[in-house]
Amino acid sequence: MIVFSSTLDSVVESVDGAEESVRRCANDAGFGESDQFFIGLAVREILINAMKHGNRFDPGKKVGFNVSVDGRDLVMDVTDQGSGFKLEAVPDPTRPENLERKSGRGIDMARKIMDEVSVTANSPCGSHVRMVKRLKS
Amino acid sequence: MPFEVERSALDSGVTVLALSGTMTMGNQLQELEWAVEELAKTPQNRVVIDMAGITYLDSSALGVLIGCHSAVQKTGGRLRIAGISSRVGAILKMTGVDTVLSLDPTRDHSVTALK
Repeated sequence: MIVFSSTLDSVVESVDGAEESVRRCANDAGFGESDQFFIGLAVREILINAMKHGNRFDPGKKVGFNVSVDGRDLVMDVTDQGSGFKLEAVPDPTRPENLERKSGRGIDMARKIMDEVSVTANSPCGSHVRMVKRLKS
Repeated sequence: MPFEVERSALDSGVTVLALSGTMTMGNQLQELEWAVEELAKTPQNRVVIDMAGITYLDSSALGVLIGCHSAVQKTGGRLRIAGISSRVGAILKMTGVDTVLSLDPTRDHSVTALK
């Protein structure tokens, strides 16, 4: 069941509201305050990636953001209109040779926070990142 | 919450940059890096970034902290990070950035370490 859906302009200012919304959805789904904090952070990172690396802050391109609840899963979908990317092509930012790089940490942070992160091609273009956070009993 | 930087030059020659608010992309983060880059070129290149007032940060902020660290290292200066909250600490640990930066529990610990 979709509990939140929004189409965002590719501007950083639109991320705050989306993050606040997903935190509220997480709260409604029963996640504690700490989980809400980190879910919000992961969503922020993926939205920024979609706007920056996907849409390249092109004002004509949008980022789709849906939050749904599936049983005990909070499912967050982010789509962009960029040229796409492969998860396995993203360098591991925690490797010693990458630790002092100034960027490239967002997707890794999301993978550590969420229970599942997958990237697929979006139709007709761009990427679709799906994140799942499971409510522990 | 707006991001703010308050600067104090101590008699010991150490400069303290006390941060407050949220450190996220687009929130004038770059001003912190520019301030540290300028300090790094001067004799005041022993710097404490006091993060006790920071409640939230994202990966852009981590990049800025790494940039500050690199700028000071290049000129032979020293940088220490003080007062991070447990949540901010968890983000630094998750990303491995805690192994790059010199972290102290409080501003006083950092200032003492730089004397």
